[in-house]
Amino acid sequence: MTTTTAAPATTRRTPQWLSAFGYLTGAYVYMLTLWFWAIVLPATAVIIFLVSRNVDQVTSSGVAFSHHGALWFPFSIAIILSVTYLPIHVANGMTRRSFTQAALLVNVAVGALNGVIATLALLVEREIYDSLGWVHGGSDGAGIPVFNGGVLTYGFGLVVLFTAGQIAGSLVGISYYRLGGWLGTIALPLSLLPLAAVGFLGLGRGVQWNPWGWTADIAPWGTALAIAILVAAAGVFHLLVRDVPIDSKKA
Amino acid sequence: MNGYAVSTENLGLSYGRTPALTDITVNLAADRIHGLLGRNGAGKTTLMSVLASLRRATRGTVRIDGQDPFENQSVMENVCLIRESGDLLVDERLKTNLTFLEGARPHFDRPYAESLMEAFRLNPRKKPQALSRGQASAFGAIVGLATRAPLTMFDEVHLGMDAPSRQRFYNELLTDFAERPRTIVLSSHLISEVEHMLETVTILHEGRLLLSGEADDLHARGATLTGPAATVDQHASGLQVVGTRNLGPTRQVTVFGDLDEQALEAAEHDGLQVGAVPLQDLFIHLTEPQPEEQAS
Repeated sequence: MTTTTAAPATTRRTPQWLSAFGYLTGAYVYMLTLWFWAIVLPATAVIIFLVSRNVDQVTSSGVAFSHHGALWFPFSIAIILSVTYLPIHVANGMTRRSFTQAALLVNVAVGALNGVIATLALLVEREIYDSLGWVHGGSDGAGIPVFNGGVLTYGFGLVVLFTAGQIAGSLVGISYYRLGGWLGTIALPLSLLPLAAVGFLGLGRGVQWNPWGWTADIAPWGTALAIAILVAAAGVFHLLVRDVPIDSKKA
Repeated sequence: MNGYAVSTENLGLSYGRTPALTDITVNLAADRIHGLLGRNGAGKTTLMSVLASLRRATRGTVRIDGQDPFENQSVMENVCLIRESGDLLVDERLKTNLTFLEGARPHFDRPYAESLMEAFRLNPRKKPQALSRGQASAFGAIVGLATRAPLTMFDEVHLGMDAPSRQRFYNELLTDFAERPRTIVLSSHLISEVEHMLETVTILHEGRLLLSGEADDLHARGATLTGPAATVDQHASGLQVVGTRNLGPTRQVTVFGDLDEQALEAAEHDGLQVGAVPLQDLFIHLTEPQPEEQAS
């Protein structure tokens, strides 16, 4: 028989969404985002060094290539978040609504953090390139400077893109969790829409890196539309989560 | 802290076209220990999942402390269902899980949880995935006890636990319940182990409510007759026998139904021991497929 202790205070001080956000940022921001960059940046530096030994002049940013990782790695983590953390969250007495709030906030926070780190890394890299007489061009090989359209514009573009990747990952995860394998797969074009919208509409060719540069700049209102689609996607995420059944086998 | 009262009315839930619960109407009073019994697939876990807001009922109403619990923050955080799946952060150490629970549960008593972990010899630095089945169940039991939720439900929490661990859990449950009364729902297949703790018994069968009532009333719905086999058979003749055990020349039969007081007195007069009906025998009898069911 163990010794019982005095009952603790019985009133909640921290809102559920804030408790969840605190845990998720601790796990995802520290463990995943900071570790990601702690690995990627030194690796990028080594690769650039090796390339520079074998070419006359470096013409592409190395850090810009890491944008793919900063997009797709958190995207996959967002899928895991929806599939594995949601049942634990609800089964431990927290509402689905608080999960939605925490998850979306984490999406934006991680997207913003990655965008800021990537932009700062590019600024440092540009200084190094300039001092060595290299061309700080985009990863498309066109030779146009990465920051041709302005540092803030580029940084904002990355934040929106990385956030879109997170929201799309969350949507993919909850679609599979709620709808199952077949329907989740069929729904992929819709759940990936936020990412596609930002990629196709939100970033300009030659101004910023984007994976679909050949379709960019088709509409000046693209960025506003892309952000509107992100907001709508967050709403859809809420609708999919708000009454999702929590099964033990999925936990 | 006061426990929550639970009531459902015509509760129904279907998985697609398959009904899992049909017209369940129960009332579980606050601050008591309730047993929820049923065979595999009877709907026990589904019913508790609805009470814990893991699923929304398809039909009927659920009230916990007079409120609809679904997505109701103040109710949900005070309803704790301990499931076999554990619902833990499997990649985190047990002590990190305790920190998580402190943030999730307003009544969570961490010192108590840590003292229980010591008693159950659980290393707080271990991760859930590194625990044996019994250790994982023990940690689930600890979480359920230390959460101190006004409505706490244990769904087969004993799975994999050895006998001393199960006994320790039962003792802890009764001790803590005596000090801090709350509403407890115990679902277990080890009926004979838990029946002494149960104040009420609810039995589900094939998704429907078979009975729900005071444990003492159920015990009174039958009797056991123990003594020499021939004498037992003589007094059991004509009664509905739902269980028989033999130990050498001694026989114990469980009889069910409205029993004649004079007949029981006569049995005692002939040297037989007359006792209360074991809940397990009653349960087996009530949930046994009837001949017409078997035929169909």
